[in-house]
Amino acid sequence: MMNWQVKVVLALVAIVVGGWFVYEIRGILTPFVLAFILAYVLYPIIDWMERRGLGRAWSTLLVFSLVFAGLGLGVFKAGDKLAGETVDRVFTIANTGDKPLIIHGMAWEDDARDQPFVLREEHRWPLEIAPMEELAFLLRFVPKDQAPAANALLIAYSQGQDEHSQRISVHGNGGVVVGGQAGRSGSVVFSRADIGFGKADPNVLVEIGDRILAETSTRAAKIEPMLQPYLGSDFRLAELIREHGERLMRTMLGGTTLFIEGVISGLTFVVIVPFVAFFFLKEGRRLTRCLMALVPNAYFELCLNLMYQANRQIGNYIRGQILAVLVVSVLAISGLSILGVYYALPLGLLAGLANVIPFLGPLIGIVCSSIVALATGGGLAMVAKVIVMFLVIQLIDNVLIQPTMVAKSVELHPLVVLFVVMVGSQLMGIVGMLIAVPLTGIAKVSGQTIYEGVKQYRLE
Amino acid sequence: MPSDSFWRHVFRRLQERVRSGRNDEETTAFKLLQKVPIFQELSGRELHKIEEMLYGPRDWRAGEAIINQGDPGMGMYIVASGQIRIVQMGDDGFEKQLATLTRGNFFGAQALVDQSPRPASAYALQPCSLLVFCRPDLLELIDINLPLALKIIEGLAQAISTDLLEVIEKLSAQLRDSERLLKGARRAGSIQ
Repeated sequence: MMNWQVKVVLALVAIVVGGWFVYEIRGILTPFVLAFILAYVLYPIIDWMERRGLGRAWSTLLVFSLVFAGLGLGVFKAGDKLAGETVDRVFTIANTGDKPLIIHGMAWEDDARDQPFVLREEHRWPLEIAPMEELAFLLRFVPKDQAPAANALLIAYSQGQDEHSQRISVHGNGGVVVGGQAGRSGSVVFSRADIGFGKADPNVLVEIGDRILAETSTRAAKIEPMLQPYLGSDFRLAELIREHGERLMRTMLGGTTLFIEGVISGLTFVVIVPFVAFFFLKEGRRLTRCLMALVPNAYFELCLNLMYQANRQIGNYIRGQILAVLVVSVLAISGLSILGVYYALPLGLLAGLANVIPFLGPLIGIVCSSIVALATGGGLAMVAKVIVMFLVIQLIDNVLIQPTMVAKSVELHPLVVLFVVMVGSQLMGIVGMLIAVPLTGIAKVSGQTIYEGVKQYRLE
Repeated sequence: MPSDSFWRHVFRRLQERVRSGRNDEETTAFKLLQKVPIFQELSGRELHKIEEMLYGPRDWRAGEAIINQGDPGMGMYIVASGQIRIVQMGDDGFEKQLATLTRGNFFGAQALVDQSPRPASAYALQPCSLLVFCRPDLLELIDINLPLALKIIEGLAQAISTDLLEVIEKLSAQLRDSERLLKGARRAGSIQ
């Protein structure tokens, strides 16, 4: 028999190694966690169908076909909308000569502030392209309306002593191409002479951002004369706000690509998550039997008991949370629509999802909705209405929804919530923030069940 | 021809497979379930459903405890092979052997009804192999297939009432014995 110190040390080593392993693979863990949650959500539905006399395999298949079709349709629609909102095009400059190619800069022919074409990524001019190499540049079309748009990108470059310029015309939403040159000049090859972006819808983000900027800078302009006596006449608040705001906007545009990349990885999610969940549901029973076969005889009944209890508690917790999210979302969406706030659907969904995070979640809903209400010209009265509406929803949530749908035993201390939300955002960003609290809830439920269960058994 | 006998052998094995429909291990579990009185009312298809819900066969070494008196019960054990001793610790601190079970016998069925503490312990006398049917699965069965669950519960009630009748019979026999003893003692004049 090993003595207990060795056992404790071994257990600690196992925990540390296991924790490190989970930390290392956290990136691919998310679809499995989501599949796990999805399986718990769908379990009662499949049970219900089985009760109606349909076999388990058939019920699972039917539910999954429906969920798959729904998700696919949703992703398709969302992708369509996003693709309509921002469009990227690539062009390359290749140096086929034997001297280095220097690009001194790029500028828009029509450099009005509201022209809808953007050169993505900020480049440090001058750029050098070595002989026999090429460089790719990304252009983006971010229209604010559906009017035809056309512009041209002017590129100044030199090779050896000769200085040249190249004009690449761009157009979108049916804009007319103006001019255009041959794609090749000497030993420099431009992949395209004109770039068409096709049709694109106005970008929601840019629209909101623009309104916020315009609103705040006009207000700032009003109070500028009051500040100038103290801060000097060269202090221009409105201009500062516009300048910094635009920098922020550019970052936000960069963020949209991140979002699109997110959608692409989301597609793999849409494939992986249902796949894993399907097997959790269909093979769940066999899986638990295989796991139980590994348990030593002395702990067999104990583990059996813990597994069933934890299973029930986690199921109740997840289903309760999902129901609460749905109810709060529906309440918020209808409330915002009644008040006439723009983008009621995404805002309401966000508020519902964020509601999973106690204490901080409701604030996220209020802040986002208030900003949008302000930016879309709602004024302070609208903000007050939005806040009152969210307070009412909070009241309903705390008095009716939480006590009936979410188990009392999963209440977490505010400090714990704050801590795990920060850890979640550190590890996995926004997704991490959203799943941190449910995961902690699940861990707490399992821990409690195990502790209660172990107390009942005599263990030597 | 050796190849001829080889093909005959293969053909016979295939026939066996088709006839049994499932692999050997499962059929032994299936045959075992047919012997358990609780499942007597079940059709073949229903028995296969129960078979999917079972844990095991799990193996115990000789002398190992299977269940401990006083622990919360989780389910019923069906003996696939080996010998099991059912033992109860009395209030007087002495162990009393209640029964010895072999293949086809079952114990712990009370745990299917409620999670009350186990009234007795079970030990493996020889290396043995057991199947386990547990209460949460019976509860799930009530949810998803009530007719099947009702058949099992009926079988369970019958098994428990049979046990109860046996106990009552034993008790009344003991009562008769003690009355007879009492009478004999009175007649002998040792007790007034």
